[in-house]
Formats: sequence, structure tokens, C-alpha cells
Amino acid sequence: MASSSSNLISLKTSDGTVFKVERALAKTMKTVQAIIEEADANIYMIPIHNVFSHHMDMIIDYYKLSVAGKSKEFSVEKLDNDELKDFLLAVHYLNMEDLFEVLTQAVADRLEKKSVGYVRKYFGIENDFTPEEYAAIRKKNDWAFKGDDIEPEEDEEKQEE
Amino acid sequence: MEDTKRGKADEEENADRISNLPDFVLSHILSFLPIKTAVSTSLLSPRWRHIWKKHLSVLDFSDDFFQPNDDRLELFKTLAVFVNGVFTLRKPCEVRKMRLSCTHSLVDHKVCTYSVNTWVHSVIGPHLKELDLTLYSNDDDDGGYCFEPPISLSACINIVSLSLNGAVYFNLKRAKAIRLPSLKKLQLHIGYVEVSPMNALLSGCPNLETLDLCFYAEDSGGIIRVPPSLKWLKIIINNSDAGASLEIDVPVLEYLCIANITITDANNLQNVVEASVDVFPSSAASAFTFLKVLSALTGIKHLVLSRSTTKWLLGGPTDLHFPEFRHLLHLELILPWFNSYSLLSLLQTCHLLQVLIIQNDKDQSPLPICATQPSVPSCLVSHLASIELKGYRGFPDELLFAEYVLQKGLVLKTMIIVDISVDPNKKFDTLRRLSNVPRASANCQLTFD
Repeated sequence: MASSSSNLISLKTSDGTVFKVERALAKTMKTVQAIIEEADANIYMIPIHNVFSHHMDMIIDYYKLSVAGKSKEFSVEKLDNDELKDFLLAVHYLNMEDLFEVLTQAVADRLEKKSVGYVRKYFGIENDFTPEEYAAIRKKNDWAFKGDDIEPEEDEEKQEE
Repeated sequence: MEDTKRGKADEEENADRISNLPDFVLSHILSFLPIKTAVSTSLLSPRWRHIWKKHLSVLDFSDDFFQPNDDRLELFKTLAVFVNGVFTLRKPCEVRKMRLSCTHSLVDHKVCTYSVNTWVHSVIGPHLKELDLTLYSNDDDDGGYCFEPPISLSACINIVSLSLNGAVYFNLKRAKAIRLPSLKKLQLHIGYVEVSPMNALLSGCPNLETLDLCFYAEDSGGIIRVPPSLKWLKIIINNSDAGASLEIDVPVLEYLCIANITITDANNLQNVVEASVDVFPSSAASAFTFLKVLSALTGIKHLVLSRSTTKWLLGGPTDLHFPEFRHLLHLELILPWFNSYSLLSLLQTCHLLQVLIIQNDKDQSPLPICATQPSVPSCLVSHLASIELKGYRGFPDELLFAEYVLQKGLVLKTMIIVDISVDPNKKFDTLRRLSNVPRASANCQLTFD
């Protein structure tokens, strides 16, 4: 049982695992830091919803690399698109600035040069435009698409000319 | 990564988790993407229609976005519609960085001048950290588009990096009025410019650390003065017959690269670790100063001497005192001709040299070989680990030099000979001859290309 006066903070992920982390690492999580500051003297376990143990593993990896000055070596390549999304959501919940920048850059990198249809599939975004609305926007924002080879039409997209 | 391997069934479950993120996070993601891609997300869904517009603090525009057009003005107008669309529709937010690149669309027309000036004016302010303008005109002589940096640039009190390239003109009065107290990095790759406005601009940047200048010098006799805060300096004058000169007193300078410029005075070069020099002193006085400059590079570890410099250094009178480079580890020489005597004399002064690269790609006939051999340079015996000979021409002097190095190089690990332009028979002969030379270093590897 760790109390707030010791060097380790206990964090409980949503799958029930308890991680004892250094105070310095907990400080990079603004959400956790806010809980510690608001609580009374002895808080012994902080639950972190939306964060799973595999997320905590990666967070700890990143922290160790950045302390050693090697944060550029941190890579999320092995994560597939959904795992990356999940991780981004977890880090966003914890409000960790640096790691958040790294992950948003990673997501942006995966999106770059992809068509609109691909991005929809990737994010699972439902296209709730009606065909008329879609055509109207496409036409209205034509200045943005002029000279584009990337056409937004995919198989299930509404056909428009 | 064209296709996600996820099954369709899972897609429903994971459907649109990303849109659970607040707008600010989504637009943050979009800010890492090229603007054109970000704008196209307006088609994803009704909610996404407006996300790209928010928090747009990084603007990156280029006429490369669009299909090339022989009619430059037409291409510019297409770009202008896009840029104006972004500026108008975006939600007001301070621009941190702007990059604008027009390499094949600018002409001397009101539309171009007004548009570019307006775009630049709309981002100028205390929030601007980086500005990068690449504006190439269509002209050769008179006429053609030209950009004049406005005095209001001084309102960018926090700007850290400024890069101006192409058809940029500096008016002396304006240059005197521009003050950039936070500027750390300045790049100017421009056409003709006079030294006085250049100096005026530089004196307005007292905290400058990186300076990259590449231009055509307008008047001869102008002396460029750089801020003493510089750590990194590169000056390349494109017209080699211009009389531009440089005066430097830069105690924290670590990197120096100069070409086609005379140095009138140089102090405090002891912290320079890496330098690249391509200078031909045109008079005895400038030669004296230049030698003084080379001697002042007492801390230098990595040195590149290009053709003009080596032509002067190795072709001069034989009583020329080569400066001592006490800490030099890496030396690259681009030679006008091959002369092993001069080379060996130069090597005498570099006692700690580990890497030597010699490039000899001119077909000029070499100077006659000197009869008296200098003593073995100490670096050959104790430090030289790698030597590379590029542009081997097959002159007897070159072969003798290579053999000499193999025979004396006690710690030599690699000898690489590349870009060989001799006929295959001669090449084979050379390889065989060199392979048979008794090597002083047991693990020396000879690579022949």
C-alpha cells in the first residue's frame, strides 16, 4: 500500500492490474496529478479508467526512454490502427502532453496521402451525408480539391461527378 | 499500409471511436498533415466538415499542390483561391508557422504582389514563430515578380526562424528598420543584394545562432559583418568574381562554410569544430589574412578544402607555411590536380588525422614530382585509419602516393579507390600492383571500384 508521501504511486488499470509507478512518471499524467493534489494526505490507489495494462506497459516504456534522452526511439509501428487509436484515447484521458504529441503525429503519419474513403474506413466514420449534401459540399469546396488526384469516391461511396 | 486487415465484423464494434475525441484533439491531428489533406477531411461526415478549420496554427501552402500550368498566372490564381479559402474559412487562431512556396506561378502582376503581401501581413504578429517564403520569379533581367520584406516584420517579436528564398529584394531603409530580437535562425537564398542592407538586417538580429546565406554580391568592396552570437555560419557567394568580403568575430562559432568570399578579419575561431572552405585569395594581402584565418582554426576537427582553396594552398610557392591543425581528425580535399609532395607536406601538419578523403576529378596535368621526399607524416604512422581516393586518373604520382600510404600506414584499416576513369587493363594492373604492395597494417582492406 503506497501512501502519497512515498516515492511510488499505485495506479489501477481498468482490467484490474495495479502498477506502482514513480512519482515523476505520475506527474506527467495531468489527470492523475490532479487527483493526487485534490485528495487528502493518504491516497493509496488511483483507478484509471479507459487505460488497460498493455497501455501502461507502453507508457512506462516511453517514460524510461525519455528519461534516458532516447524518446526518438519510441515506436508504435507494431500497433495496428485500432490499437493505436485506443492508445491515443488512453493517453488523452491521462492528459500526458509529450506522449500525446508523439501519438497524434503517428496517427497523422498513417493518414497522410490516403484518400478520404480510406480515412473513413480507418476511423470507422459513418458517412451520414445524403448524396445531395455530399455533392453540394464537394462542389462548394471545389477550390480545395482542384488538381487533386485523390478522388474521395470508394466502392461504397455515392457516385458523383 | 494500404489496407487495414481488420475484419468487417469488428469495425462495427470499434466504430468511430476516434470521433469520441474532442474537436481540439482531432484538429491537432490534422495540423500534422498537409493542409490540402486536412481540408479534404471536410468530406468525411457532417461533423468533420468544420474540424479542419479549428486550431489551424500551422499553414503550409505550395503551388506544387496543383497541376502544372504553362500559364503561370492561371496557376497562381488557383493557388490564391485555395489560400484565400483557407484564410477565410478557418476559425480565428494565432498562426505559429507559415510556409509559402511558389516556384512556378509568380509573375509581375498586381494579383501576385497583393496576394503574397496580404498573406504575409495576416500572419505577422507576436505569435509567429517560423516563416518560410520561397518565391521564385519568372524573369531574367528587368521585370518579374519581386518580394520586399515589410517593416512590419518587426512585430514578430517572438519569431525564431526566418527563411526567405528566391526573388527577394532588400531596400536599405527598410532593412535598417527591421528588428528581430528573438531570431535564432536566418536563411537567405536570394539573387542580387548589396552588402549594406544585408548588414543592416543582420544587425537587427542580435541573438542569431544559425545563418545560411547564398546570394549574388552586388557591389564589390562591401564587407559583411555577422552577429557575434553565431554558432553556425554558411556564406556562399554565387558570383565568384565579386569582391565581397567578410569580417568575423564569433567566439561561439562551431561550424563555418564559406565560398567565393574574402575574409578581411577573423578573430576567435578557436571553437570552430567543422569547416568547409572554398576561397581563392586574389591578392597577397588577402592571402596573408586567409592563412591567418586557417591558422586561427585551432580547434578544428573536420575540414573540407575545396578546389579554389587547394589550388591556392598547394600551388603556391614551396615556402608556404601550412598551418598546424593540431586536433584535425577528418580532412577532405578537392584538388585541382594531384601532387603527392604537396599532399605529404600538408599531412605533416595534421598529426592526429584519422580520415583522409581526396577528390581529384579534373584532368589537369599534375605538377612535376619533386625530387626530395619529405619525411613520413606522423599521422600516417599513428592515426590514419581510413583513406579514400576519388576520381583516380592513373597518373604515376597517384599510384606512388597510394603505394606509399599502404607501405607506411601502420594503423590503416581501409583504403578505398573509387570513380576510376582509366581503361580496364590499366585498372587491373593498378589493382594488382597495389594488392602486392607490402602493407604496414595487417588488417588493412583495399577496396577498388
